[in-house]
Amino acid sequence: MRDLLRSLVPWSTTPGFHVATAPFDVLILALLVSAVLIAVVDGVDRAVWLLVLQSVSLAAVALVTAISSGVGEIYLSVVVTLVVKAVLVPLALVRVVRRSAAAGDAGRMYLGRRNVFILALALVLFSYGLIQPVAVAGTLITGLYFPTSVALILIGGLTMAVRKKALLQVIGLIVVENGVYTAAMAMTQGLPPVVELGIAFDLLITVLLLGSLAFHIGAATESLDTSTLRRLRH
Amino acid sequence: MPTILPALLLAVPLVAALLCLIPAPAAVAEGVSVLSAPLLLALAVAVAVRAGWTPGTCRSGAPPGLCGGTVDALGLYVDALSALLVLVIGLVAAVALLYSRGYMRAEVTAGHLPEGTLRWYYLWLHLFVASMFAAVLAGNLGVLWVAMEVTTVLSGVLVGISRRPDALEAAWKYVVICSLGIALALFGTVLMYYSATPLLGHGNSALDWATLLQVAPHLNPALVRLSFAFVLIGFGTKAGLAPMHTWLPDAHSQAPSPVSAILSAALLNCALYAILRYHALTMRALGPAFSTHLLLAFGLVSVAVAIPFILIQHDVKRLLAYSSVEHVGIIAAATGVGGRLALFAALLHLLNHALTKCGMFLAIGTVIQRLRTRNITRLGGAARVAPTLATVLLLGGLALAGSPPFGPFLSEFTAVRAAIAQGVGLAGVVLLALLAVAFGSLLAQLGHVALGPACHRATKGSARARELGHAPALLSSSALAIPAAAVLLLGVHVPDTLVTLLQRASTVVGG
Repeated sequence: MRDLLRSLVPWSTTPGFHVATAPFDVLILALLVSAVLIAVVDGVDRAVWLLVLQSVSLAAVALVTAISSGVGEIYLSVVVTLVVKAVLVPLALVRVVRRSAAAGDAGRMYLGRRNVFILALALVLFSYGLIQPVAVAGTLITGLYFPTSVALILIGGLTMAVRKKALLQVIGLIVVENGVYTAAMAMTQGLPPVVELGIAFDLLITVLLLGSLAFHIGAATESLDTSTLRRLRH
Repeated sequence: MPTILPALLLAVPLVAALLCLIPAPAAVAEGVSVLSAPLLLALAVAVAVRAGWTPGTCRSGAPPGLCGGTVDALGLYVDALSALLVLVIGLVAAVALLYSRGYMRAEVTAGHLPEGTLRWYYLWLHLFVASMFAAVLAGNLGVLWVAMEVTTVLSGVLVGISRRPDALEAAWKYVVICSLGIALALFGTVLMYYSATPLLGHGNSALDWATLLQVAPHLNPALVRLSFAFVLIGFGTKAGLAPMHTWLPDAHSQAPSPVSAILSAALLNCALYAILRYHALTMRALGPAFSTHLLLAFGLVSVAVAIPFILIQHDVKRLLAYSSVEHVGIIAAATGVGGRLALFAALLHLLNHALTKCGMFLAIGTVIQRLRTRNITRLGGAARVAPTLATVLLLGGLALAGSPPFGPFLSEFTAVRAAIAQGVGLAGVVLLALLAVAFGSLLAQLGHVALGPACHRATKGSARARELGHAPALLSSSALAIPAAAVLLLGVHVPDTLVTLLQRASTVVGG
């Protein structure tokens, strides 16, 4: 709990955190808040804007890492993140929303909004309170980024599980991916450029396919609600 | 010495896909596929024979897992393990491509698919095959991950190509669940990279499998353990290991049958291949205990979970899909037993299952097309109306259930024997018991289709019976002979070159 409070105070310094600068902590806050809000927010449009916020924060994390480490390759990662995650992917999502007739009811979930909010906060607590001590013991993993990335992965998974709306599940998937990217940036200053380009390309085509599938499912069932997908059993 | 063969394996399907882009009648794309299929088969067999035939060179001091591994200018890495997978993908893809012609034509005639879609079907199919080859030839674990995610997207397109609501639902479920799974595998990949950067620095070499295997004993053990856990869950989702298999019966049953065949017989094995690469690294870094126990547990659970669903299944394609979960479980469990003999059995079973399942999905596809139902209770008595197809189904069912004299029996038997010899007798006994139940369940179901009381609808109209007995397109049906002959041959005699290939592949995994 103390770890959590300390992490939410921007000017805190955590022992072992290798680049303990204030912007990093603000960015961590932005990542976590956007993830939690994506899990509970009403309306696909708002979720897409939150996703843009998260992706820009992520690019900023990469930018700070690039500046502080002086590794030129990371600037490529900044550009790729901005172009793919903050522009192309949101555009693709918005396009599906505009084209599909059944855009309402985006808030529908399998759980109540308050419960999802509490669950999401619990996952943040879990990541900071439990994962950090476990991970730090005997490994090189230190600092705030590892628990943050775990929190993003878990909240993204939660979003995918509780949302009925197809496009919000896709956004949950991107939050998971952002969590993995955060971990990669914090632990290893990203992955080799070839691999990063491949990952960004994969994310883009996955979102395009899922958007297209959601559109056709919407056309076939007149809703983008996956809770109506109940035909295949056993 | 590197050759041009691996590069050709990628180039041929890519060129074929480009040719399918030409806006021409579907016959052009069909012709391209009929040409590319034997070419792919020949290339794949050449790669496999080369890896099993040439004396494997081992550098002194290097781990035995690196013996015979060659890397070319494109970074494509070929050793016995990737050659085995290339062989499996090549065989399955060639058979499915040849079969597609007759099968997809019939789908168009039946009105399930607009004719204009055919060209796109062959385009996606060739790209899908190329992405699978890329996955098993990638020397870099990051590129392996990228290629695996590309296979998800391309096969997702193929699953939903008919745009029926059921197929769209299956494709949706498939791509969402597998993308989530594979995101976790990416996390595992990052952790492996993290464990290697202190030794190898940042850059591609810290994700290069061969380099990693050399430095594996010096990798941070806690990170390697965490990495393997994430990779097993992540790629295990794509491999159809229980309890992450829930998407599999939908996707494999809703896809067009040639695509089902590739999904079950080739793509699942690509995901298993990724797990095997990490398994090799983990064993060398931590010793065998950790990853073998996990694989054994997931394998046995998968076999156990699949059986009740095989028993209660009404949809014949879902039946085959659950049988894939069972067989992936057998391969994982045999790998988890550990030791040279068990690994040999696991890899032989991978090949046997691929050949059998490929043939079964194609044969069932034709039966479904002709009887216009996939409900097992309505498919009864196929023997009276189509003796040849019914025979193929019955023999395939026997092979799939693990009966002698077919290939799967040999590999399952070897796996159980290895478990007892290896001192994990309890696992061996459990596996044996599960296999016995699976044998009964599968045969009861498929026996009904082939021999059971004739279904009312099928025999009532003589026109329908004639339709069923009507010989399918020659090219399509003769493609079935390839897996059928191979499964029979592998049950009686495993050729020496193949034995060497399998032995070398198990050395790659087990050191």
